[in-house]
Amino acid sequence: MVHDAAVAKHNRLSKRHSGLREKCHTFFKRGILTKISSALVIIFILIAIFCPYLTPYTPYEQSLRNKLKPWSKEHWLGTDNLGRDVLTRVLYGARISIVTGVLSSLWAAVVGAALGLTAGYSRGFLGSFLMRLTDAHLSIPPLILVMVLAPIFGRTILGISIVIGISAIPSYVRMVYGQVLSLRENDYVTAASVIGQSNFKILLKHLLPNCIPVVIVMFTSNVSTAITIEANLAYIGIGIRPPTPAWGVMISEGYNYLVSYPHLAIAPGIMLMLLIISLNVVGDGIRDVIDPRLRGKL
Amino acid sequence: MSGNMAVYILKRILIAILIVFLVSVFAKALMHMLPGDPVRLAMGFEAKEEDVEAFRVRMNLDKPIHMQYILWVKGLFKGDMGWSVLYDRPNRDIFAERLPRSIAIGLPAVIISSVFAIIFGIICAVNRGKWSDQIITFLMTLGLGTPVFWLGIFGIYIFAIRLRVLPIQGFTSPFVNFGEYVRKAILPVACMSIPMIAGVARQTRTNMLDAINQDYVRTARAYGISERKIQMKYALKNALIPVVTIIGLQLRIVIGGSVLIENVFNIPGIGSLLVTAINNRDYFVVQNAVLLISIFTVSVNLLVDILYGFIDPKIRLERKGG
Amino acid sequence: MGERILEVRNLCTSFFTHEGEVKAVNDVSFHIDEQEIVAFVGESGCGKTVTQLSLLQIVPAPPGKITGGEVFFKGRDLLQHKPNSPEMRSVRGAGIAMIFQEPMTSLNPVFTVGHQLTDIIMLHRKVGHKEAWEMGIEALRSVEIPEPEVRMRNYPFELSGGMRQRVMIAMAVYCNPDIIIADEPTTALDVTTQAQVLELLVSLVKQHRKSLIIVTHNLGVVTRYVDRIYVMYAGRIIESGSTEEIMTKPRHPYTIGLLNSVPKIEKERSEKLIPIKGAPPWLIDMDPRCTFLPRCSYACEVCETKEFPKLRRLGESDHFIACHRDIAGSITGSTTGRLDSAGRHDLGGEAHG
Repeated sequence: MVHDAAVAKHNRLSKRHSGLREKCHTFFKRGILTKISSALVIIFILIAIFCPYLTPYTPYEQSLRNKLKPWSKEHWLGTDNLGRDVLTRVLYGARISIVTGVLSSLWAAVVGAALGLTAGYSRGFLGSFLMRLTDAHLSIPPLILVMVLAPIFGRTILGISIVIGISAIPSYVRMVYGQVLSLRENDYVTAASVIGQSNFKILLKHLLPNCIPVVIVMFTSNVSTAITIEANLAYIGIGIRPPTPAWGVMISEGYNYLVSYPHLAIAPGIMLMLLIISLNVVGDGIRDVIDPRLRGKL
Repeated sequence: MSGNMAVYILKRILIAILIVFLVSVFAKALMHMLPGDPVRLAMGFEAKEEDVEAFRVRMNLDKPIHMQYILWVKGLFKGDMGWSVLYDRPNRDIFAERLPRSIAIGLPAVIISSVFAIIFGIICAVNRGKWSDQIITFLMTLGLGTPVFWLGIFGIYIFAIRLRVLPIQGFTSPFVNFGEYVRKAILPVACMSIPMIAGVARQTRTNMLDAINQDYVRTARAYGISERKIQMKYALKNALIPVVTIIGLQLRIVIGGSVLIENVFNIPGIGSLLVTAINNRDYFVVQNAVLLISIFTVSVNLLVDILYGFIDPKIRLERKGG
Repeated sequence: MGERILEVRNLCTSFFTHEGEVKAVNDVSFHIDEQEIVAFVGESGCGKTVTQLSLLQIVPAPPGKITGGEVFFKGRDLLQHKPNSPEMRSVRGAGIAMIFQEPMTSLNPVFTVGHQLTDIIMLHRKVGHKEAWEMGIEALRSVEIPEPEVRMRNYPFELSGGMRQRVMIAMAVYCNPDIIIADEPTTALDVTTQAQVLELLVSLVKQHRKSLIIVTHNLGVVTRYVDRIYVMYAGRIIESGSTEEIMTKPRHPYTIGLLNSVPKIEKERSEKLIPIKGAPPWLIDMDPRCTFLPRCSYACEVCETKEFPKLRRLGESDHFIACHRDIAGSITGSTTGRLDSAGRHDLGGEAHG
């Protein structure tokens, strides 16, 4: 005799479809590292938002009498060479890193996708000119490009975000360009142009939506790259200007006291490392969920 | 090599020249994009007006911008890279002095990281899912996410300050004192290699796993070829072809890495020159450095493209027009 | 027919995925005698290919795993050996050789045809490189490839699909196996090459007195060559018998549907092909009842309530079916299934081959 429960289970399972819930499921199935990293990313975002409420100090408050103090009840991570609370500066550093990372990647994504769409759709002279420009752009390593452009746009969070964004644009252009080229071969795009839809409409209606997953995946992997570049820049003294508590600035200042006060450089370094690694892991997860074919390409 | 391959290479070279040209225009334009007068910035605000004028004439800055560009490029073809305001020396001498130091750190890093990366990548793919794969994959995640400069500082703290087994900073030419060079180069080379190892190993692992899942591996298995031979011969050759491209890309990262590593370890190479020049607004150095770096990466890409053609039979034969 | 060379009993192979256990091969038993040619027929995903891969233990693992059964090849149970053991490897190629569906991807793109052929010949014929190369040329000549000396130095992508499949046939035959398994050997080829390649394969098999298993979704193509037919559905064998029995007196509703959906040249043009309605079932947490039930137009109350029917013998013949009912269908009968308005010849999910 047939077991009704088994029949019911079979029917239920065969109707399962892949929705957002399914995607979350695949995401967290990736393992413990993904779970920890997601938690860390959320914690970092919360720190970035609420840092003024987490500490009684401001990151700029100097107190020369209290300089280079070891850890204590008042200053959990001690104070730096100007008597500023290290923990406060480390927490505010998260805000600067995340804002720069997101801002630069966001504007790079918008400009890069627009240029990639234009290049891919127009082809011809404009397309190949844009692509050669992209090649030229890519021939200068991102860090070098950011270094030489930083003085032009100013060493503020906004200026640095613009510059880092510029350095990230060509990779978006390339990716979207490739995507558009392969989409163009699809029948529905040909069909749309045959029935007389305008180029702009085809671009907006058929090509753009199909490029969005790739752009999202690139965006997530780009935020951590942007944060790394920002920290690099701040470290070599071309990025965000001290006394702004960027982690790179703090590491650079702390380096001078490495022998006696190693935590001044090590503490912001660990935060930076944790943020970048967890963003990378989460980015990989999002990539695998949205489009596993991109594995190995990004 | 037949005609088609030559045409292909020629085409690639022409595109490379176009790219270098675009970058050179950008490098020259940089100086003029900056707010303020580059000569004033270079000489300082106390400098007398006639000195500034005389300097302007000497640096060709009194001429229109396109003339400046033409004179610069003309000079480059004669081997004259112009004059550095900051160092008050010919740029050519500065670059000639510093380039070997950057190479002495960068080249070993590229070689060592490529070898280790491929080995690690293979170990992971072959033992996929086992503990050795999981540990190496985890370490690769760490390696990819750790900023190079912080890695350098951390390395100095552990090995030079705490354990006192390696010197803190500095550089000695391998031709002057090889032992000293090695002692001083270990940390910078290692720090530069780690992110590259992580990146290339990840790529090798992905490619290798991809190759192992291909139909031709199933064929080899169905005909009784041993698993070891399948991995080390049939899959590996397919997996390594794209890795050539990745190693080419890594060379770009080496340049960024050398800026940071030379800064941390106080190595007077091209990377630290660029930082000093930017901080002191010596755009005569900067324009040359940017162009030089671009020429380097473009030639590496060109080389990789051509090499790729020789390794991959499909591309090689297509270009032959077969 | 000669002695029984392969006997498979209760073979089970599953794929363990995130969603659960997929029972790709579910309690399959069959056999093949010396110099016999049998066909495995069914839609995509019915387990016919996985069955063959299981014989050689080359099911991709993980996620695949052989969960039970016995595979007696020349009296030895192959499943007693580990997949990568020397015993198992010596059977692959030299005992049972396999030709795959995709000639485009089954050969390694970065080694020459000769390189791959000689590697395998050296392994199984225990000869040096030079002799193996000569044998390779001979092998290519035997599959009617022109200029075999030149082709040996070619890379696979320089050959056409038909040529590549000939190379695969040469590889299989020159390992001197007892059984050759051809998994959809002609599906990926042009219609004109299909017949040539199949003809070549069968004639070589007959000439060398081998046994042949042809896996296919297209019954029409192979019937002239095969002695017996196994019909598979959802991981199980649901009907088996001699070619004549199956072709003229199919008894399982699925087989009847299958035969109705194959175009026949001798039939009238106006006669419509009848597709089988619905799609193959989900193989995770399978319905314990008959798997064909949702698509069957003969289903009755027994089918709705009883568990999956066991394979049973019909009378004294070698004809087996797994069906509660006993229907005698005719190939041309339009009683099976509903007519698709378009009347396309569509074999369920087998649109892509």
